[in-house]
Amino acid sequence: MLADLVGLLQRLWGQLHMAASVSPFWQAVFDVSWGLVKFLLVVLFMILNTLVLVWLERKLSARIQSRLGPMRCGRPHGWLQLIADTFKLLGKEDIIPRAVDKALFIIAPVVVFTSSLLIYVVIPLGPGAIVSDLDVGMVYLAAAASFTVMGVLMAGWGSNSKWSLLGAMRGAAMLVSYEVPMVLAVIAVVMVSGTLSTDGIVRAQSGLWNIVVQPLGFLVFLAALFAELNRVPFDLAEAESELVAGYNVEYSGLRFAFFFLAEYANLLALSAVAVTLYFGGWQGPWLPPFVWFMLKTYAFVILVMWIRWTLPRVRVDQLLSFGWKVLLPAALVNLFATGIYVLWV
Amino acid sequence: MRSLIAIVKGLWSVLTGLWVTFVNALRPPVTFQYPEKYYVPLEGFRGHPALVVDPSSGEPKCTACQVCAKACPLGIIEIEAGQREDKKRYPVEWRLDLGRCMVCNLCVEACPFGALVMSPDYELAEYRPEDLVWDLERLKLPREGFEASRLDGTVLTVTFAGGDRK
Repeated sequence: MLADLVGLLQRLWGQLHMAASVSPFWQAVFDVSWGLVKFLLVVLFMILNTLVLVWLERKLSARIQSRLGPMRCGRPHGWLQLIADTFKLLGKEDIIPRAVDKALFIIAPVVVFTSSLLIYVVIPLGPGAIVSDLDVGMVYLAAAASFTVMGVLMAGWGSNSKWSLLGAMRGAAMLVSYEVPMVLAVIAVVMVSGTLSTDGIVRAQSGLWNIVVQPLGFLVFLAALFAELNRVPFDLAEAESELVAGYNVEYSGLRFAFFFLAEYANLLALSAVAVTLYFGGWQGPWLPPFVWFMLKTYAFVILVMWIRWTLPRVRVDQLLSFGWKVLLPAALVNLFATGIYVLWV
Repeated sequence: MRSLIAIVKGLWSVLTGLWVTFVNALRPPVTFQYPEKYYVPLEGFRGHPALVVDPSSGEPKCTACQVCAKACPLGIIEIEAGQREDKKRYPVEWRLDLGRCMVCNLCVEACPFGALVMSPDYELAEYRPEDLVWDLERLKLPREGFEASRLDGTVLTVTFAGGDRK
């Protein structure tokens, strides 16, 4: 029945597309509307998955710590807890401290949220099911992932508070210095796959998943991923127990909800990117591609959460030293080895 | 070379940590979900003093001798004595201010007739402080959910007979 519905929608889309080719004006209208529909679908996907992810994190962290997690709000295992928390955050007073830089303070959460949203544009959910199959998908991805730095700096500076500034500076240093090994690991994958487009990278893995070809690259990417996601062991920017929530300490209510949701949306987006790059995206036998994609992404998300609740936080000088002195050489070695592999194998 | 060994050792320690948390995640959680499940305290738990009812006569064993009232360090026990036709003394009124009781057990130890015992009931909250002053009827044991049973002929234990809570 689902296949029938999808077929119907595809036929409807085809009819509208043909009808719109009457004149350039209607073509433009069709393109813009279709773009808007895709945007709304992406936002819906992001929000729904973020809700599931926050619930999953609370339950998983509880089980790892021998406790139960949310149980009461939504009788079987507290699945309504997130809705309750969202309502609570929405109902809080929107406090803008008097001494903040108003423009930066107000725009920062939007920038952080948008940078997470931008990554969803190039994630292939299935064969051809991608918002926009850019030819330079991976370059776009590296650029979009860097947007978060701007949002963090705006939040930290605009909050006009020592804790925020410290958190933001450390966060920016960490994000920027871990982008280099991450992009180098991605370049190695691009060399193996022969294309910058994410859809192409997934299709190029139909024989062998990239993790088999690039184990060192995957480890480098994984370490850099934790820094990009602001998660333990690299969560210096918002270390709850150190900086009183760091760059988002002055935020309350809906603005804080933006930061919070953006963090989990980012988690899902970058996990999806990792699955696309190293684990074959939507490839897999028997099951429909979208189901494979969701299974793999959630397995990766659970791995990230598992590591987060196991390891202690790394000190900022240890963090930067690890990034520049261990990860960068490892990424370069990986690149060199990949070059040899591509040329002679 | 040393740094390479350090990296490998670091990676191994991460994997060991992951194994530890994974194994712990599979163990049952230790949370006791209190209001849904009633926590039965251990034996000898002191919740509040209660008057033991003699099963043959249906009356409390208390003879209104005032020893417990004198033993109480807070002076919260008030007893009015009366005398029945067969010259036996009995308490007409027996009041205990539970809001000020510190469950020190001195009244129970002082009673020469074994008429006082500590009940393990701990859900005693009321909406008004006046409702915390319990009279003879409320202090009698057994009452709903609690029964007194003899251990070895001299010591009485109070057990929760309520079963599972709704």
